[in-house]
Amino acid sequence: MTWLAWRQARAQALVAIVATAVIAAVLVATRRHIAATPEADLSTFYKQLQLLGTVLIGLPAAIGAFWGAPLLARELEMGTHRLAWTQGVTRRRWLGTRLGVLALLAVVVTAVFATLFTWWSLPFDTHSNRIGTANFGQRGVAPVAYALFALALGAFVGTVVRRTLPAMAITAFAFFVVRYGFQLAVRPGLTDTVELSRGLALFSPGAGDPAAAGAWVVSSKTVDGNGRVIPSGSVDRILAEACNLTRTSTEDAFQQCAHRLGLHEVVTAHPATQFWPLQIWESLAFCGLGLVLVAACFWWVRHRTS
Amino acid sequence: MSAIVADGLGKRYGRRWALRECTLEVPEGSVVGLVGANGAGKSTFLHLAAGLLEPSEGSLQVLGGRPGSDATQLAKVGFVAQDAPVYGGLSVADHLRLGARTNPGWDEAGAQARIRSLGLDLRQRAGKLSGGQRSQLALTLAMGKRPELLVLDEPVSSLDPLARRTFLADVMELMADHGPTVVLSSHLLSDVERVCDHLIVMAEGRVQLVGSVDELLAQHKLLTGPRRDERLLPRDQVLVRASHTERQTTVLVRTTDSILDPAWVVSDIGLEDLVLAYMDRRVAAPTETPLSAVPS
Repeated sequence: MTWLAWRQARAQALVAIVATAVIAAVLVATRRHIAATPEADLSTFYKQLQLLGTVLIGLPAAIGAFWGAPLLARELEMGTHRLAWTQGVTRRRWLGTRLGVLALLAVVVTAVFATLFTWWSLPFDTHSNRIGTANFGQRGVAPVAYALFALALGAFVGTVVRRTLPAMAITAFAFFVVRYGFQLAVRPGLTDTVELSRGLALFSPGAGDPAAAGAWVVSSKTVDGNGRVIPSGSVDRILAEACNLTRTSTEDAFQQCAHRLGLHEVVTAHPATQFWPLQIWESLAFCGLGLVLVAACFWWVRHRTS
Repeated sequence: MSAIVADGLGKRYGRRWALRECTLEVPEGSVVGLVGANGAGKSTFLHLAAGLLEPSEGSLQVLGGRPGSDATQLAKVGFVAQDAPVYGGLSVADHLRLGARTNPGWDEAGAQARIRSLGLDLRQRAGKLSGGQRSQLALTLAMGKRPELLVLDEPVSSLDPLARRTFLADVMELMADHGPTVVLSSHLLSDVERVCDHLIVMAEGRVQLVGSVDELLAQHKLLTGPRRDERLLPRDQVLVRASHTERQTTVLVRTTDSILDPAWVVSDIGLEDLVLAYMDRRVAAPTETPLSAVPS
């Protein structure tokens, strides 16, 4: 059975390994230049950073759509499941082996890419943050978990939908819905947050406490010297009235006025040190979701498909 | 010993019953033709036997086990689905390898010999094969596992007349060599009558007739005589079909006794007419139809 699973994954494996090798070569070759570049000139590499990051965000969706979705949908569409499931191998083993081979490939591809990319972008991350929503999903081990989840999602959707193209589209869409829905609703609560205070974000956000710069700010509120919360809409009015400021006043003038009144921001945030705990919880959650989908897939194949 | 024992077997898709109240036995070593119109429930029955479907009601035993329950059971049954699905991207050699890697009792020499005698190129991709070649490849795969039961779902329906003939001749030859029980379905009797010694006729999801061809032919008589009510038949004669002209009545009856009424002219019936009579039968038994309602 393993031979058949490999044989059917051969084309995908070839594409995946070549693509991974190319990306790995690019990352390794360019990393030296980045490491040697002074901080001020790092922005010349932002295009590459963004491009590679986007590829890494899209990769799990592609694995789900191109490997997961056709796994059963294509068999059911072409009728070849009637050939495969009447050989001397149970459907459970057939599905287990085929999913196993693709999962192994997905782990290798995403782990190589994500590890190299995390290393490659270290020079950027030391000056900004990698725990924030923009970067978190492109670093560490989370991409591997996303890929496994997407693969399971694709397999399940393909089993239920039974048509390759719709299954691919639904898989990619559903993956992003879950991925960003999770980021919005669940990830903030995965580890404990801390409260940090910093200067008012009047013109450029994040000024003030350096600890807040590397952290992932989940929410913020403006507080006056007595600890009372000021509605965000009335901050400008309060400052203008207290210090006779106008629209043409400088940022410094605003900040000095805020300082005099004791106005500052209190933010709820995940500090940079929680990057790895968050990564691990997020990865466990997506692997768990993937396992649930795999179980559903096994059940469906056993009882609802012919 | 029976290869297949079905008892009150039924399969439902949503609210529609594809097969109901199917009770029959297939003797080991027989070649069974499963005949019926499209949508009569033939495929459903064969899929149940191959373990691809689960029964909705009743029970089904294949070679003493539950179909598809484990690898041993799967290895005992060879199955060729309708239109003989194969992997278009895999070569003929890949398919043989698939068979070898997934079946414990694989007959590599036999499979190789069959591919050679068919003149198939091992490197050829299965997607490039003709319909007949594809069927032959699928049959080779099903035979290569040395099954005790070979199930063929409409194996010749998509083939041209010459390929049909070759394919059925091959099935007969394989029967002589290995002797598994064979069940093959077709919506045309002509496909199966040359190879089958047993017959199952299905209509509207129900088994209409089942038995050995010789017995069925011996038990059915066509009676022709002066016009009369067909309900007035002796108890041992089961009415299958009746037709009337102004002065004449023709009935098809099933009986194990001889026909004693001297008014009847008794004649035998051909297999094709017999099968058609059962395929035409509606669920409502014709014996309950009043004489006047029967079209003449």
